[in-house]
Amino acid sequence: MIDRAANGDEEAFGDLYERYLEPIYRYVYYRVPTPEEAEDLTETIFLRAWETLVMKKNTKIENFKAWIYRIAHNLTVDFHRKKKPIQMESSQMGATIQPDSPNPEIEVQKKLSEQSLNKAIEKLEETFQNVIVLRFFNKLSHAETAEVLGIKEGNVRVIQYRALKKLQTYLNEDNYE
Amino acid sequence: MSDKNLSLELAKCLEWMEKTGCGPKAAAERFPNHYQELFHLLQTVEQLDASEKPAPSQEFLSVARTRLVNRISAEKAAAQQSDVTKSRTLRHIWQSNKMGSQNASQHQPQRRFAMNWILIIGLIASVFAGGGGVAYASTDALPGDSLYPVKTMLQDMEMVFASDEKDAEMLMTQLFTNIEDMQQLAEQGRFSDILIGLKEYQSDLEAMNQLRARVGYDEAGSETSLNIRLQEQLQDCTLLLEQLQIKLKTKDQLQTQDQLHTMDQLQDRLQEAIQLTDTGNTYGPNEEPGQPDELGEPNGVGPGEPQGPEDQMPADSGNPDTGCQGDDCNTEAPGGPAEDPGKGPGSDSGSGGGGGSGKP
Repeated sequence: MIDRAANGDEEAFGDLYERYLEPIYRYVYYRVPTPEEAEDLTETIFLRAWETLVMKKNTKIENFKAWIYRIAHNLTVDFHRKKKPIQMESSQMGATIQPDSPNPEIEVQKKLSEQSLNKAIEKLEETFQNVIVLRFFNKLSHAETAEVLGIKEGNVRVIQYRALKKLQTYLNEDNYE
Repeated sequence: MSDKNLSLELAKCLEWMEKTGCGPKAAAERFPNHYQELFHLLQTVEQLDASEKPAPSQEFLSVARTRLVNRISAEKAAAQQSDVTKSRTLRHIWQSNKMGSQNASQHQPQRRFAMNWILIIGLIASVFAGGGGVAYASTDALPGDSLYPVKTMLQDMEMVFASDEKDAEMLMTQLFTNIEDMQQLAEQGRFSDILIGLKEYQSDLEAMNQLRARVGYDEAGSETSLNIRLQEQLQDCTLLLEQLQIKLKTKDQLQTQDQLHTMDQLQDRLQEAIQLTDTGNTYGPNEEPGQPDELGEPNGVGPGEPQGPEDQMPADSGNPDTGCQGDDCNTEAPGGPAEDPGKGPGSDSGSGGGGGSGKP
């Protein structure tokens, strides 16, 4: 499929896009101010991938997944370099409760807990956020995460440990507030 | 105990949980010395697993693929259109030769490639053999002067043999020269000739954008330092063009009816050139130019990073299920990391703990 895309097959690239759209969206989500910007940036990432695939035909893509994450990482850095960062509204996720929910109290509790979790993730520093999202949201292995971030697997484990500890601290602080 | 060892224990627990489907309690019990800390961290992981993951809106998802494929098709069509309209210019020969050597496209016949080079060599020979003095004299020519085409041709020829980086520098110099020429023409009141200068400017700008599309980003999609430098210089071009526009507006009342018409045309074209230059600045990601910040690449974990052998833990017991006790065991089938490029669309979106994706 990658070869077909590299030869200019838009539909093959469309298939790759559908496969990786959501994980890449999740990866950039916490790094941009609004969900709409995350959507735009996701599209731009794939457009850039297409340009690179087609324009630089001698590019050897051995691992498309790691490569597309790498582009996502670089474009997110570019995004911040060119655009003054804006503090994200503490998560717009999980803000609404369905009126027909069977157990509204549990639903409210769940939403509050999710809001608090998202707030805590947003507070994490960039590298911690990356590891949390790649490992626990996108389900990448330690080795894959290391490849995407360009660091050693051992470093991923240490960052993972520190990120979870930090997350726990933020969650506890939020519970006390 | 160091972060390194604890992080290794945590990683072991996580891998074990993924493999067996057991919960935090059973996993943490494998390391009784750090049971408390590991248990709490694993509970946080469970909370992450069960949480609602960020997901694009349904509106976006429903049109995402079509939108991207349309954008790609539009870009391809624009590139092809540009190739057709520019097929007679010397710069096109230069570009198609460079692209040809990079892409080795089978659609470009070898004969055409050879003919292009014969044409270039012929032009060089005719200029240098028949008119070295003409070539020298043309360096001061302004748009509308009889020697101006010689000047632009010589500039284009210089680029034939240069590297991409050198090409970019030369093109940028040409853009600035074009603006200087137009400023001189404005001083001399030769407003209709400014239109010729603008046409040349836009042609150079288009070549610059094509060059940036080719060399502006590395294989990982990151902007090259060359591209960043070019963007800054294009911003200067925008400013100079805006100054020229203001200068021409103040001369407006001095013109006759015919000249006023030319001036209107000129203002429109200038505005177009300014917009094109500005669009060139934001080429690539859909971003507006802004202030840089200090964000950079991930920089590892700083002091105390693990560097030595990683596996210092006791080996796992033979049967992965033996550690599961009571409610802590997950009844679902054990599975490894969920993401697999071989799976179909959406295979990535699930969370191990059962939290679905999708924004409310």
